[in-house]
Amino acid sequence: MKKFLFRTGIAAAVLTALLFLVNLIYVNTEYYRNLNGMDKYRNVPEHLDIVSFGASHSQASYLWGVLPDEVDAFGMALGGQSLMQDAAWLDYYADRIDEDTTVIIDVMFNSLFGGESIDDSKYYQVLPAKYICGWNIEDAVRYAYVPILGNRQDGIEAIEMSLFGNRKKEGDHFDETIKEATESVTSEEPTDVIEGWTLDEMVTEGKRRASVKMQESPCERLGPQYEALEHMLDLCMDKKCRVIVTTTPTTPYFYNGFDKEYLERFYNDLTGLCDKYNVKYVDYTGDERFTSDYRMWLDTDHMNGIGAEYFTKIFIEENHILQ
Amino acid sequence: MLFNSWQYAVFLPIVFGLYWLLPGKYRWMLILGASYFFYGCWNAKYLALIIFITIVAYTGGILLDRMETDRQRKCVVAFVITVSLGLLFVFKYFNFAIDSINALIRLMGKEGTNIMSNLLLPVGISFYTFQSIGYVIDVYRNDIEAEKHLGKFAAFVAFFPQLVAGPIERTSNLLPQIKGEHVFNYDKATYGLKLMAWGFFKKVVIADTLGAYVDTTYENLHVFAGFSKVLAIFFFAIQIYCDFSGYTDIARGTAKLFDIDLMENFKSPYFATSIKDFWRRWHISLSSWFRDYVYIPLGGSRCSTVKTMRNLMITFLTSGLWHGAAWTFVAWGGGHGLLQVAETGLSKAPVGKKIQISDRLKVIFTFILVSLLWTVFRADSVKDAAYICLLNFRDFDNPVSWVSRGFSNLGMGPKEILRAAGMLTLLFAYDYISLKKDVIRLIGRLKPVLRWCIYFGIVILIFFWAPSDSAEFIYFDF
Repeated sequence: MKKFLFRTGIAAAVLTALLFLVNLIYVNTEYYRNLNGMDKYRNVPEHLDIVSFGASHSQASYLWGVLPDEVDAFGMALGGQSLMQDAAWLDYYADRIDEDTTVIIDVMFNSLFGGESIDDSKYYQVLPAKYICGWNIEDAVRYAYVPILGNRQDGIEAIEMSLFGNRKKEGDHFDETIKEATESVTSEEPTDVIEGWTLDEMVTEGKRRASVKMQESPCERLGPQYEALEHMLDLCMDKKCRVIVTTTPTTPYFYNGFDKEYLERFYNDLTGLCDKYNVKYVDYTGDERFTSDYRMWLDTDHMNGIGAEYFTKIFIEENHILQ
Repeated sequence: MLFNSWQYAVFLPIVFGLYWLLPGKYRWMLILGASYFFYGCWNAKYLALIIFITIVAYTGGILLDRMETDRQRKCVVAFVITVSLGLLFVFKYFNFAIDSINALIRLMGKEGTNIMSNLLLPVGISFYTFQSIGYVIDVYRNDIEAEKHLGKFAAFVAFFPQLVAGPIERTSNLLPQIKGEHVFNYDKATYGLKLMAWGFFKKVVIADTLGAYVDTTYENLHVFAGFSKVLAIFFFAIQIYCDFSGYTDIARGTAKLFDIDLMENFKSPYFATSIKDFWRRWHISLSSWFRDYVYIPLGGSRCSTVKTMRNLMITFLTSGLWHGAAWTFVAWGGGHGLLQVAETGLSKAPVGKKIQISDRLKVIFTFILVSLLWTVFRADSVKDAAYICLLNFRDFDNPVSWVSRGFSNLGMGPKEILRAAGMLTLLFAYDYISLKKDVIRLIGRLKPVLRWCIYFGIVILIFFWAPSDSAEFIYFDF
């Protein structure tokens, strides 16, 4: 038995050491630092003049780079991010907002309903445990303590490329997708369809996406997401900052895919909450300024860089953000 | 609790340590407690089910010992089988039966019933139910004595390494080992660890990697054509083999850590030279169970050719149904039955009329047949299976483009193809050598540096070649 324990112990120790060595190399690759677009959170300004929350729709719509350099604006939005996680980000950076801050909370039709977000793994890269919704030890080991375990094949590829290759492994996150889609727009005239799409594809895809969202977040479940939004509004009230709740533009192919009752329930619940807190709600759904030219779109419900720039400028002006 | 989870990585060393620290007479208690904990991690409520089946089989065994007339004994064995299969029916086949009856009623132009069961399918129910039934039949046949100790019998039924996906153990093999004295055996324990490592490699590296391509194809069936479908057919054949035999290797390896030998469940099945040979090598514990408790009692092959064929069909249709509550499984079992019937028919043909085929060709031909039948097993319907088997030869005038398009449609670039080729070469080499020699012992005789390089190499490949999210074992659904 002694021989068995000694030998297996040595083997386990060697393998563990090797694992930690590989992990150490991995966490120092550029690929890991920017995995899931998380690198931006390492550069959150010390004071936030403008901060926007939300999921991929907010991420694709607000382009804070259009603002003058002296304005410190930051987009906390991420693909698939729930209001619960938005609330966690707000809690985490609460010391960076005050009465001079404008907080923009983007709420899409499905955001108020349903439970936790589908995938919280990316938050382990940058956030402490108490700010991650649905934190658990297994995910913490895989994504926070030994992240090579959570992304083994891509991780090894990233290490190979950074050690032996002459190029770095490309990240695969939404900001990159938006950038690529923006660069691929070739038409110089306004278009009726998204570049590379047919009308049929837009109709089908819009319906499919709406249907998936309704299935994932059934509107009879008003609970944790709604409470998270209440929590965010409470915190903003405490900090006396300016709050704007928005629904960013989407194409009719997307929002027409939602059931009437679903949208009705959404608008009733959201406007009711905004009235309760006396907060401005701005809805850009179906705004023809954005749906009259499909060069501004990445897909049926996300804008590309061109659309984001145009929308952000209009948003700033109409809502007197810089005043 | 899955074998491929961190919970198991914590659970196993604790149970192993406690097992060898405890005096021999208390070890069955540890095995029983650990097994119930292992099962309870999945669903604690369903522990009641396994305890109930254990008590029924145990009581049945005791009663069989006490009954004197054959009529009484038959009644007892019939009662135990009815109760066990009844439970299996309620949990596994009830909705299937209702669906099938409804379909029949609708065919006659009438409204079906809305009664449906919301019960979850208990993991491993088909395995431990069959193990318990096997015990009672063995006692009835006087092949073994009834077990008097309820705790030890319960540990036999619930022995955690094989509880949820087999091998379906025979009482004569496992129960004496649970009850027996054990001394730590270094060679056996290290052999167990090596077997586990190979099992993990097959499961988390080969099965899970190929499984991702298979799922992509079957979930978007009509998007794929041509060589992509060929790949999906053969990848699933490899996936299910590596998934299930990987589980068995981990189970057998785990048992060896406790100085317990579980039966072999696979013997290089894709080197079979016929369908009959395949079933002598695939899921041996189940096929031998069906042979001993269904096929032979029906008359086996010691009767007329027609009756032998009937017995084969009944056995394989039942075996198909055992796998899952759907007509696709019955069709899969039926397909294997028909092929065996055809083989039986061909074997009775006059010697002069037989075509001589080399063993290599037979192996290839058998593998293709088995792989095609797996499509029925994997697909949602026989129609889907037929679709995947009907190849699309568009662009076949340029075979290179046909093949490369097949790979690229599945998202396989040169790197993925090389990786898959590497895995399959290792699998092929292991199984080929296993036909004649024990690969683990063979590696054990190599020089220490080379030997340890192989061990570390396998573990490193498990870590870094495996997809980040490992899937459940396929046979857990049965």
